[in-house]
Amino acid sequence: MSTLSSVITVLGVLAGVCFFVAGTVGLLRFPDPLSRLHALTKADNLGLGLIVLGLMPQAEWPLGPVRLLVVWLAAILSSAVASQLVGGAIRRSSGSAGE
Amino acid sequence: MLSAFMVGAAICVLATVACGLLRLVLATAIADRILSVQLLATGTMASLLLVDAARPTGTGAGELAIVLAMLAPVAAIGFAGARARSQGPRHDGDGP
Amino acid sequence: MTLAFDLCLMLLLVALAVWTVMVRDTMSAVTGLMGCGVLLALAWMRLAAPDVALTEAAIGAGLSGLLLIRAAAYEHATEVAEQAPRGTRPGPLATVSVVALCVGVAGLLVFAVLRLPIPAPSLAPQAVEHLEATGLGNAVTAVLFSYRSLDTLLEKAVVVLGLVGIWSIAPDARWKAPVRVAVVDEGPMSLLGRVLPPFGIVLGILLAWNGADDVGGAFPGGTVIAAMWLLALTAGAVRAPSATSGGLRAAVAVGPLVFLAVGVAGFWLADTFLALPPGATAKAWVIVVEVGLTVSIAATMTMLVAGPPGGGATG
Repeated sequence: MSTLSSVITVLGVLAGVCFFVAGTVGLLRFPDPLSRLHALTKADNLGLGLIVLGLMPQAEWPLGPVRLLVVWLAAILSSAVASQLVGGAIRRSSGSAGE
Repeated sequence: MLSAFMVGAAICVLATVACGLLRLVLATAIADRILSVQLLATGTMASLLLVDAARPTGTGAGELAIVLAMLAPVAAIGFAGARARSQGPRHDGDGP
Repeated sequence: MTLAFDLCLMLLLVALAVWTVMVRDTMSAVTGLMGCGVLLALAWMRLAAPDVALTEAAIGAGLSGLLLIRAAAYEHATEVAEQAPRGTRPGPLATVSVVALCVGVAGLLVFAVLRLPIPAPSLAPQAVEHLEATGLGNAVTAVLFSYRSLDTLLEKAVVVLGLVGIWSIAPDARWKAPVRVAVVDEGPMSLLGRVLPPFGIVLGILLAWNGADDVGGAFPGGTVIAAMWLLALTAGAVRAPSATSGGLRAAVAVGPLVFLAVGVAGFWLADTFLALPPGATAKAWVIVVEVGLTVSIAATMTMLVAGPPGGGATG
């Protein structure tokens, strides 16, 4: 049981870190703001989500995992809205100023 | 063993978002800077949770992460609000 | 291993702070500052000061960022026009003297920090030693409400005075208009402004309630509630109040007034102003004060960020 939970933790956290790296590389290398936004959402949703998933087996039952889940849900909701707003602003400014 | 792994992962995440801050420095548009700070906030949440999980007893890290998550879009909202005001229909009667 | 993490955090924090100071554009500097706020919250957490970390996250990364973004957006129009022409830039003498002054101040600070005795002087053991008598479990709350309550009372009064200052710059003609928050009329914002506040308000109340014994307090709690009110205002989900509204004024004033009332009651309850009876009753009084302060801080912080009625000069 303990071994299984450790394996889940290691796998989840590693996958989460991979998504953070991927998101950052995208943010740095993608050519235009909208694709950079796309890269960022991967780190926000999947990177944090997988790390939270990995940490859940280690958290103190029963409130620890719930708290981690709430962190992730709040982050998803806020990052989704923030991305939409920034995306809309980018689209409008590129329409008018031709960035 | 597992806790050392978690701290190592936290360092990786922090170093990664630090690289992401290069976008903050190189950016030409404010939107890119907002994105980069957004990534920094998410990375900070992740490393906060990782470092806290590595300790035997942690207090308050969960609450802090939730507060950060809830307030993370504030920059984007302020940015969009400022845009809405400067590009939307002008309000009349703006002060001198 | 944790040391390596802390070193990374420190380097990142200093690098970001330097960039924030160096960058010319105000809006970019504000984004840098918000990043610094987030990292500072993590740093306070690493220093085992979760109460400070929560407040830093709510204020530094949240509300003050919003306030400064609005200010920067307003300044932006004038900023471009006021770029100094070549001839009026400071000469080499001015540059050198400013750099010398900065290096001198920084050097003195380093000198002062290096001269601090090791271990640093601390009142923490005494604060924890008498925690029993205050009936509280959180040493920070004990310092705020039991040991140094006069400071806390004056701090809250200052916040209210700040709001009075902001309201006083509203032109007479617009004094009765509601405060103006730029409404972002977009689908996602309408969703966020309606979905997040209920949870956020519960979180704020939880933080304020936890403050007596656990991590939290009236300040972070009230600030989180203020942020949720601003979200709802930005989404256009609630009506902006007017500065003349009695309910709003009552909410702003209730915290310091309750605090003052409990302070005066100290003459009868204990022996002097702001004194509390020892033990469990003290905790009850602290909670009464905290509830009032949470309401006040939530209302005052919202109005501070929203600005003067009718948009004032910054419309």
